[in-house]
Amino acid sequence: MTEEEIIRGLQSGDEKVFREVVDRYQTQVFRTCMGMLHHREDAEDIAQEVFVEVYRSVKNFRTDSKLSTWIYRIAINKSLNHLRKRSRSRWLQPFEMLFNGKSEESVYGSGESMPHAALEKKQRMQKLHAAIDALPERQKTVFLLNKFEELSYQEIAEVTGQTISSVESLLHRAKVNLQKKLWNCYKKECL
Amino acid sequence: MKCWKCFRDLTAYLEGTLGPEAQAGVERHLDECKECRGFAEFLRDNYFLAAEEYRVEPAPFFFTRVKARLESVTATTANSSWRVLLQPAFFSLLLLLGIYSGIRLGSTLNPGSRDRLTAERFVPWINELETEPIENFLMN
Repeated sequence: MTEEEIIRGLQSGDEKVFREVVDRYQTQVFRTCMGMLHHREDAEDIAQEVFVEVYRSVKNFRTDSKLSTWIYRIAINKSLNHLRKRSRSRWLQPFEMLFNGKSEESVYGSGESMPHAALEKKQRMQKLHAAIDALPERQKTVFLLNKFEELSYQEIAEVTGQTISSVESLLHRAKVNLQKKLWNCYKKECL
Repeated sequence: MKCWKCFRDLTAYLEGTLGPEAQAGVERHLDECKECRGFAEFLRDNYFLAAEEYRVEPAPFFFTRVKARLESVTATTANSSWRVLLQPAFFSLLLLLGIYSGIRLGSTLNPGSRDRLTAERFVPWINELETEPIENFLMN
């Protein structure tokens, strides 16, 4: 099925075509959300929202960009919005603890009853996520799309709505910043 | 090669995007410098770890859950569009009803009965200046 046929099918509300789109892009969308959020349940939740959004707003989709680019863009915007909401709700956590006596469960769980190696890996992962999350939003997005989704500069530029040269510059800065953060961690033996 | 130059080129070296000469230069430095070698391994491990985390698959029956969500969103939207229309109408009606019952209640009150609620009857009880001070009471 060609992309034009898929778009026409989606616009006419064809469920078979929608299923085809979900099957084709679910892994990419889920991995993008996972890369941004580092939390399986949240990533799955946002990935579902992405496809709901695709189904509902495909009528406004302009065919000047590729369908995959458009879907990536939705996935990234939704993940970033979720991250902003999550950071806002962190302000309320002390109050929740005060009134409910418990806080929202950590993204990484408690770590109790975990074998030593797994616990160590989990801790390393936490530090790595902290280093990636400390990157500015645009650098982080470009870094994830390039490093893990293996998108070309041109594709990243289309997804993020930036020029190729600014994608190159953002990616370079992201790598330098991440390396610096990991260097600090290495020196302090925090991982 | 100095350590700072190695540090600058390290990510590109690990990605294999340096030119052959620079790649060999970094490699030579890593053979000689224990600290840079340790950091290069550390960086490689972390990139590997991040990539490993990234190779995840969504849980099975993903489409079924998307479809269920789509249906619930559609139902909620239908409900909320009714709510958008009905809620203001309901509150406007409530407001009008309140105003109307206020007017009706006001008009049914007997104007003569207001005399009973005059200030003269209440002021002596409220105004402390007019009450007899305790000193006067005890002296008399």
